[in-house]
Amino acid sequence: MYCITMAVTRLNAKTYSDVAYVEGVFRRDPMMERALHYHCKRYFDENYKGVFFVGNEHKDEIFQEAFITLWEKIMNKMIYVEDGELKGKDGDAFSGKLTTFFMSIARLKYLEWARENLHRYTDEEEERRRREQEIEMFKTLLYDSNDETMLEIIADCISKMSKQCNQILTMFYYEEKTLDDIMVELRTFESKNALKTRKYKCMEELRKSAKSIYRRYLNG
Amino acid sequence: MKIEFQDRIDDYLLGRMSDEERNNFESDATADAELKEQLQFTETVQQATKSRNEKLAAMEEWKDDYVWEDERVAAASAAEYLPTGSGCNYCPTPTMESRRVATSSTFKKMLYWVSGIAAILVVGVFVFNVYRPSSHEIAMEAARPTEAPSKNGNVSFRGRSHDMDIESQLAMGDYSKALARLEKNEADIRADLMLIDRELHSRGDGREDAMKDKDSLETNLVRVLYLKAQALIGLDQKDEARVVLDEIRHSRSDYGIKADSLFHLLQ
Repeated sequence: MYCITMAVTRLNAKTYSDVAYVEGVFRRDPMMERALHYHCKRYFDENYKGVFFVGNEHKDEIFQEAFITLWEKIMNKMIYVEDGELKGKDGDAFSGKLTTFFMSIARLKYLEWARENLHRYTDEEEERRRREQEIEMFKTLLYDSNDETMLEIIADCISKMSKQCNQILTMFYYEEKTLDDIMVELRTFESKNALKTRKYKCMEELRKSAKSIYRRYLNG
Repeated sequence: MKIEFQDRIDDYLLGRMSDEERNNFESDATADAELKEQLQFTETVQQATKSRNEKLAAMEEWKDDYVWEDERVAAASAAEYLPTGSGCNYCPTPTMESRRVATSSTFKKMLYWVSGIAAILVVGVFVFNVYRPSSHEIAMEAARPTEAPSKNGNVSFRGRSHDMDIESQLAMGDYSKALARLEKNEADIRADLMLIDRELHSRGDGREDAMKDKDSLETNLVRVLYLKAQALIGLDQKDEARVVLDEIRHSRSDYGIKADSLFHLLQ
């Protein structure tokens, strides 16, 4: 009885076409943003084990990063609707579903996560081989060659920064707090100057990683 | 990047400058390429930080939209209410799930669905009878090789359908039988691979076809070994499973990625 009831309401659950999701998210419709999040979350949870295996906490982390990337891609018009058709890189029509594309991003996010957390290569040849395998996928899925590329790369690097750098930059640029306020809140800096230097170093690290990614993935 | 530029850049971007200071800064940035570049970079960081954090805040708000199935079952039994929906507590439209006990309207809807499904089944049976292939056609289809014959003349019948049977066995928890079949498949594929290797060494012509056969067999082998690892895990032979996964986790196929993550999870 329970199963039947559940199946019935599952069928009733409102879903939209891929075109409707992309149009809605692009025009910043909060309802459609939320609906797409739900759609992807459900698909991800039902299918991620067909792509990789990770523990629950990392699974959620991978979902979060993949969804932010998809969202950014729609906002930056790298996935868009033209003449009622979904288009992507180089204006080509989408060959698959949005959820399939989302899972490809999640797969890449997993590979990035695995690279940082699981693999510690000592063998240069192995490292080179892995890198080669990933470059094409990164080029195709994560970074398109256009004006928004650096923004995308930086957004990606911010997600991988140390917790402290993330906190400082978020408080300073997103919450628009002054250095004095941040100092009081974080309590780890002895002087305003020390905090200022740390913030500057975080920016420098970010710049370095972004440039290295740009060179590695886009210039081959 | 120059640290002495950063204060002015931040004040400019965060609107902490007087009109005069803004004008001065803008003319400085136009004249100094380095300052201009650092300004652009900081602006991008500001934009990216804002965008990311706005999205994270929204996602935090939505995190309970999807209540996982097992959590729902646990919550339902704890609260002793009848769960009725898709698991989504948030409703983009009124049709999505809200927590409620079964009502007469739900019961009616359920009846409609059950009748609908029954009608589809009746039509389905009718259509199946009309278009059902003859038993001969079915037999031919079953005997059709799913892989092209290899150059050495061996026709491999170790296609997907065979693996699907094994997958069913795995799904039903019949690990020993699945393992035995997988080991047999593995041995066959390895033998074929040896033959192809020998052929590749000895023959000058037809190498491309042989290479294709080899690729196809190798892909098959990765799949078989991945399933074998699953069977071994089912039999609680995790060390053996790790050895198998280690062999295939560098493969370029999707199974390579899965094997790699499973390998690490087992560790």
